[in-house]
Amino acid sequence: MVSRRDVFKFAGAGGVGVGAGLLLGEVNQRPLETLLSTHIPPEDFSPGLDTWYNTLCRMCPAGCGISVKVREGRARKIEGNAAHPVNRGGTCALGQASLNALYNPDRLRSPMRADGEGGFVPAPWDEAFEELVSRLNALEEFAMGRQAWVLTGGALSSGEEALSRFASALNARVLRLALDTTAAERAAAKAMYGFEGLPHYDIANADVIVSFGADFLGSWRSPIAYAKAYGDFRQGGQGGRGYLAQVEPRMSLTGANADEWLAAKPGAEGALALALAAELLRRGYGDAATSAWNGLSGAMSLEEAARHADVPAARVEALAGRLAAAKAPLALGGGAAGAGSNGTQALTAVAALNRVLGAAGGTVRPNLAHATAYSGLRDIEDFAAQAASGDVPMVILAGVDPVHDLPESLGIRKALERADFVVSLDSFLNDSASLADWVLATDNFLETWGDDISSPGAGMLTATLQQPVQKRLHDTLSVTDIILKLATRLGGAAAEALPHEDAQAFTRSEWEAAWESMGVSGDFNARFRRAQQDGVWAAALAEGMADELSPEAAAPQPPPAAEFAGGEAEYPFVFHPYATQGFREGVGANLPWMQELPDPLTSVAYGSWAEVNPATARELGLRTGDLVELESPAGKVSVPVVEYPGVRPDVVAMPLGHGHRANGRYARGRGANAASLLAAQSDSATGTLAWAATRVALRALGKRGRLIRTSGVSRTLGRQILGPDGEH
Amino acid sequence: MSKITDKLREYRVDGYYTEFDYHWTMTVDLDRCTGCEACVVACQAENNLPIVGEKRMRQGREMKWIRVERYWDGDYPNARLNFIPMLCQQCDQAPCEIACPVFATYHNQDGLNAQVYNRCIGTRTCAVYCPYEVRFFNWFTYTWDEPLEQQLNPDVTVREKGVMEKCTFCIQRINRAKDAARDEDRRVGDGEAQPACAQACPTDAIVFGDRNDPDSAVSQKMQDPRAYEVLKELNTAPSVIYLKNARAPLHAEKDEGHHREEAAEAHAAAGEPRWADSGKAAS
Repeated sequence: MVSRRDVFKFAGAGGVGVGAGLLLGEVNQRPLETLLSTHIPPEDFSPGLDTWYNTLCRMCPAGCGISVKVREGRARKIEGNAAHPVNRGGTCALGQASLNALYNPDRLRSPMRADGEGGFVPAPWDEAFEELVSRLNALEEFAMGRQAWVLTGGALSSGEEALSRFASALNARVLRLALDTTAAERAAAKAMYGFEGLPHYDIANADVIVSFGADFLGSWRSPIAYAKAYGDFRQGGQGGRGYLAQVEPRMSLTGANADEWLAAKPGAEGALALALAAELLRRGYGDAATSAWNGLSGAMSLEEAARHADVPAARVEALAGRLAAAKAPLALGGGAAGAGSNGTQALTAVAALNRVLGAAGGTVRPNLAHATAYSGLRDIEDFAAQAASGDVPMVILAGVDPVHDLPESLGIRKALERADFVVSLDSFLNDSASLADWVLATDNFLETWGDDISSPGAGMLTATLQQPVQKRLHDTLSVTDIILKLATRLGGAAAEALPHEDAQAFTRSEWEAAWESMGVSGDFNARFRRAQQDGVWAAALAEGMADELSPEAAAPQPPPAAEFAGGEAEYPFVFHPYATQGFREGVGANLPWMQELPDPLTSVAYGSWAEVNPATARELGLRTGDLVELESPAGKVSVPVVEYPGVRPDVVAMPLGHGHRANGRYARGRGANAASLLAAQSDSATGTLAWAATRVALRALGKRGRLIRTSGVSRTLGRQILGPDGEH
Repeated sequence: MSKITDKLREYRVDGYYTEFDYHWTMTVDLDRCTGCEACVVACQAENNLPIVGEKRMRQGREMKWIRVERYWDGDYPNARLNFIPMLCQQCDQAPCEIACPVFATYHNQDGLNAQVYNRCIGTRTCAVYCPYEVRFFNWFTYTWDEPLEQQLNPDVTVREKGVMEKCTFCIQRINRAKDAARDEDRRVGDGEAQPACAQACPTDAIVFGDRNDPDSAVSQKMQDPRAYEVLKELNTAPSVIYLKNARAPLHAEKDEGHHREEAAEAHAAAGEPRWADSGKAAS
């Protein structure tokens, strides 16, 4: 029975019914334009009432759970999923702004075909699939050993699994791309803790943390999980207020919150960590494994290491004292410290310090989830070389923008220009997609199915389910949908590997298989529905997991001196690129809320900047806002400077993620791309990109740049804004 | 001090609430706050704040009901950065309320400093009187590039040109919680009403609740010895209570005079006017 009141209520909705989860059959239909579309309203639709869906945030790789407020069929607000073990209800600025991506005016509304004159024209899906299928069939028949390439990211997701199966059915090569490949940290964990993957760090229960370059409150790994833990580390923890020391050449957001900041020379972090480890061994610390380390006789003394890193020896000694007195110490290493030519050795030294401190198995624990192995420089160079010799018949870009996000010096732009045929699966006409022959418009993550296993996660196996919270806004499909449709049309091995109808069916089958392999019993449908409601399925670490840390570890070698591209005479400054929470490697640039959000440390909005020490600026006759040219052996950019008291005088720092040539109205032409200055340096141990191993020269251009800052001179000037003086 | 306060009361219009049904209060723990600005974007999303654009931003027309101010201490290599989120302090003795010629801003029964948009005639007096500089004037009717407007929160008015606006403590969420509680004939429970900034905060630095309930989390936090009010000497009786950062002081001795000179020099060097001193955008 439908009451009169119900009819009126629904009439007010104008017939735009929403569908999420259970209503997906309707997704591709046009909304009915009658006043009363149906007498039975969708079950989740009441005008004026919020409907909440738990799903997954895909703005960064951390894998936080979110609850999306949906009203009148539209996602309105992102909140953290309070029941999610990773972010526990918290969100970051970028996650909040993901709605800007969903409703972005420059989102692609249908597939686009290159018109041959540098532009793109809309085209129907059928045409796109026909073209792709004929190309792929031709590839199979006439490839003569030439392989297609799939360029993708590194999520631990069903979507990546579908892509991998598709690639292997096609005998295509896969490049997993990221600027920060996590390779150094994984190699260090393997060497010192004896397990694969990224460790879980128990920040909340640590009492002294020394972090070598890991900006865990800003952009490193899983910032919201770490921020939640940091709150407890500061206040409300068991052992009183924790102490945080941050060792890095440029003060990050984490450095700004630290109790002390040690402005160590770039590349010297590892030697400092190893010297601390040796000192603590001398003081009687260590376990069975470290007793065979011969006291780390090759390590520098504290004084030598302090001199090497150009930090006061007294403060390093005080830090050693603090670590020695700590009940639950923890050393973290990451960011630029792990991205030099000696990155792996540096992070291994940090892990060795944890071993000596007895943190391994305590504040450092293994994860159940493995981490993605990203491609090394050799694979990327191989791709570029094959493209140069005309041997790349097809490139599939699956939601990545390597032309912007990775250094120009890797040659990816040229490779895409040389490849016979490039198809990009993306929501935006970004710098890479602009070079494609076809761009297939993809869903926003709030419109489709998927999942992610959080890595490093939060000390337990955490699988987050992604489900659509609203109907598709435009004529788009998800990457997985496109792959499945292609496989069906291709037939053969691809269709056999991927017989699923759509992303929903594929995600379900993956979860069913995963639960079966883990021995999770019970009715699958009920369990899956529950996961849909909760947005997450988590399994606690099994008893005795800590034992999986290897009892043995070989003595770490002293890190070799860091090597940089560019001679010191010609390029006097070490270049320090860094990711911010809002922009990361570029994902935030086309979001107006992110462009308009002042940078937390410099208060700059709309555009990028280069940070120089005030003394350096004085020496060069520069003041904030002056335009300079930064030149490295790999390229040059012009950018306004900001006098930043938190950077070494011999370092120039610059945020990543700006300076897009395309990617929509908010991103295009704003700021300069820090990645374009990076030389193709590699980590000597893992062969992955060393993105903090380039030197630059700085030249004043004699004019003012376009710099928007929202703050004036930031001193409290005795106003006691930060609290009454002298009290605690 | 109480004399000044009493005098102030005389100037209040009739009908001013002196006792509040709920007394909504926020505590901000600066020891937990990392300055990440998740609160800033959460507020922008919840309260339909406009995207003013690069040109207006350059003119200092930023619209942010909550912002994170940053204050440097010391110099390299002993430099330190401090953060403090700044938003309408919902003062119980609000300078802005006395200023408004048309009573567009008034104190409501819950101790909130409320702004009636359709009463506001845009004299901007309140913004001048506000010592925290947290009031924002709509110099223009801002628009959203289609289809960004589909994100707008239907529970919150979109403001037009000529209207002053500011933080409301997410009154739409408070009202919703009160409405739900009224249906069940009870008072709003602790934690049921959460402003967007508090809900987003990844370090739980922001705690919100009813000060009239002695057991509420916010009442407990206010007892912390680190609790203080910003610009307490102005007797505004703010409803935002900060908990001081517990980091050890950077220097044994502070030389404020030195900093003041340095700031003046910096102003002169940058060609900036003195008022740029406030550590925030001109509203």
